[in-house]
Amino acid sequence: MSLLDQFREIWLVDFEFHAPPGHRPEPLCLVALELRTGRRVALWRDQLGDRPPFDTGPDSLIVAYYASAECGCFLALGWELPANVLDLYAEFRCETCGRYVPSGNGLLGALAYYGLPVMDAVEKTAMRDLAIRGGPYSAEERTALLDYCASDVRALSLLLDRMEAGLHRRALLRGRYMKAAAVMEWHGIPFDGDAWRRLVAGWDGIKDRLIQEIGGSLGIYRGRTFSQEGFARWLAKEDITWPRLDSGALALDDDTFKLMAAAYPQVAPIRELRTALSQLRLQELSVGPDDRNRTLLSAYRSRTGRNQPSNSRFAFGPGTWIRGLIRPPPDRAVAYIDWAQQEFGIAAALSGDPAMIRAYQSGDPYLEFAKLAGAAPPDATKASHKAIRDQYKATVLGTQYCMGPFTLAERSAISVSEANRLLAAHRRSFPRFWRWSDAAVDYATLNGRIHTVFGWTQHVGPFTNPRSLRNFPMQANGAEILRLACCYATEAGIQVCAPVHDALLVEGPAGQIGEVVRATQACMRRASADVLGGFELESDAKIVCHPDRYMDDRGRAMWTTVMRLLDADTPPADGRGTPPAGGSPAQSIKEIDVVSPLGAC
Amino acid sequence: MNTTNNPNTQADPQIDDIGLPPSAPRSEMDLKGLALSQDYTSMASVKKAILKVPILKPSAQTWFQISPEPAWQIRVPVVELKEDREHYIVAPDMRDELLGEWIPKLLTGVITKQGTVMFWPIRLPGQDGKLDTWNESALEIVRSFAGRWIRMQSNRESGAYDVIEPISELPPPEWPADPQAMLKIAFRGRIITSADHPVVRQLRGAA
Repeated sequence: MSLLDQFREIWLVDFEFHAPPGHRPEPLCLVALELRTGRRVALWRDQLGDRPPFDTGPDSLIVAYYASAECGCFLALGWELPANVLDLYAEFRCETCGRYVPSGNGLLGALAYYGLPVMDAVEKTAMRDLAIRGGPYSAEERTALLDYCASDVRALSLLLDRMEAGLHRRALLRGRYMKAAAVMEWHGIPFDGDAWRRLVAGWDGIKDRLIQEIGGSLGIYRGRTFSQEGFARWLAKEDITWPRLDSGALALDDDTFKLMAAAYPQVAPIRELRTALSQLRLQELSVGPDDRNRTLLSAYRSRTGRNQPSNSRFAFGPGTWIRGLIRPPPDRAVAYIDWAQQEFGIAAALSGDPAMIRAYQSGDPYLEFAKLAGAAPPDATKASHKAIRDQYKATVLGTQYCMGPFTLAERSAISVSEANRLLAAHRRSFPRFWRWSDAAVDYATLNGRIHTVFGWTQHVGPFTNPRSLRNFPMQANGAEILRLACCYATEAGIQVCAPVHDALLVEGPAGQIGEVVRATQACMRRASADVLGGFELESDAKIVCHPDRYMDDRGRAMWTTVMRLLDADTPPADGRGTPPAGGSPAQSIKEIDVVSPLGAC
Repeated sequence: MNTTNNPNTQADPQIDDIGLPPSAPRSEMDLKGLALSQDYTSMASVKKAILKVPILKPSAQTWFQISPEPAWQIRVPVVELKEDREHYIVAPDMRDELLGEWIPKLLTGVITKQGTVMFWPIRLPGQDGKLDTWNESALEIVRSFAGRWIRMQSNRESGAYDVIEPISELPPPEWPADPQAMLKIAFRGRIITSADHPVVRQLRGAA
């Protein structure tokens, strides 16, 4: 039985809407077509009532292309979200992930991929620009937008006909996440809008002093230019062996800086400064009139099915200090809840390696691994064997990214032979995991694809990196867990501001944030159990209450420096200066448990 | 967009006054019927081809198990070239001719923690029934520790091997199905079947 046969009505739906960066969508018009009867609805915004003009209940299916946009319009209209959503964008991504898609992943690209008639791209751009321009619209413009909307619905119909045979009920799970994505995009991340606007206005003025403060004494900048010679001298002085390119020059890409910053903490501020100077376009952060950071989450954009929001628009982009702008409004609190050692837990559960499962369930898999390998005694603790634990932690994390001995040696500042010994210890300690991991790569290369528990698929081509295949089950099933958790949490009424790789940022009343955290953690446990055959992953939470701000520890020093310089240049209107990052340290949920059973701020 | 006219907004205590949407309707999808297997070890349909089976004593650092199955305990007459650290099985037809050159050994099937299969050659008592203390203790280890993860170290004071066992429980190994097939791999090209065999020629001082 086809997926579509399960539904009484199938509505192909498309909205045109106006949504400047950071804003919630403002629907302009709607066109919908019922697949079987041909019933058609075409309404301008003033005709859209307080409920959808078609059935959206459990017997009906709503079909869209990039459905979080349509769901966002539902939310803007105060309509209840549809019970069942089929997103042909998500299905197209799943069908073609890892394959060459010559015309991209948009609706036009999908039509072209299947050899279906493609609408005029020039006309599509013109109509999109018209929607972006916003009102008022003339009668002709209204007609043009409605016609354009109708043409998208016709294209959707052709695409559904072409893709129908390959659709499975799992597609509804992907559509379900697009509803959650719409809700999260609707909420957005609470921002300190005043600080952000001051930063945008004053950024150019403080750049030189910022370089002087962080890089000046190190001699690694000449003016605003990064000096390779100066950096090389600083590395020699610090006794750091830095990776080099085949040409012999220092490798200065951000991945190398990230890697080295993990091994040498003194590199971290330099990385933050370079990122800030070269990549940061503060004005591109999408902040709405309600002072909330809101951008397209770009669901299913990565090969593992993870979200891939724009780095420059999203608060959780590469500049970690920027996260200091995240600040709950008065009487509110946010909580950053991340799964504990998620990838290790997924690997343990899916491979069924008993030693790995025990290590995860011990609560400290890194130390447990050291004990298994005979490097630490059975009664060792995090405090008593910190150095050994750090080494074994780096090895666990390294193996998750298929790190070889040379990279592990660089990252951990150890010899290559020591790195080889650690990697061999991992294979000895977790043999069943390694057999499973080897088999996953064999399966993928033999069958030309690899899939998650709920069917997200990566196709294998001649240029597919075997390391990405080996890492796929952990990353892509991690993405499944995250999506399910987002569904459970948003459906439970929890205000999820954003998903962040292996974490959720949630918000709630300051007095009830402990309850919100516990409810979210229950959703996260349930999601992991659903994907991992009953195996539950635990999570940790950090709570920040107004007036404190969220802060990633890696960016704290940079934030403090930037805001001090900014305050000196342009004192804030109230004359009190910008509060430091995390005025009081973010609380962990365990601390809250001690302070108050409700976990209130 | 103000959604305060939405009844759901007012009913839900989680919703604040900044225009939050109603929560998404709960979906009652049965996820169990949707799950795909991740048991790639079974699904990959591949098996490891064992091309080499070492014949050696496990090192002091190697965790290993001795098979408790009698089929993995194989008694054979072998010629041992100590300089080359090589063992050769003497075929029945050649045993009389090479009398005094071969010694009886027990080839004990061993698997390491990393899954490497090997045969540990342990000398058996000769016709006089005597055996040195090292090999005596090795045979004792085979009798007493088969089926358990161990590693062993030489104890020169006692002239025997000490056995070390892990405190935590480790998963059992996966043995290859056919010990005779492993024996054939281990001794490929190393069975003395005629007087022309290079090892016989070497023992007799022939060029």
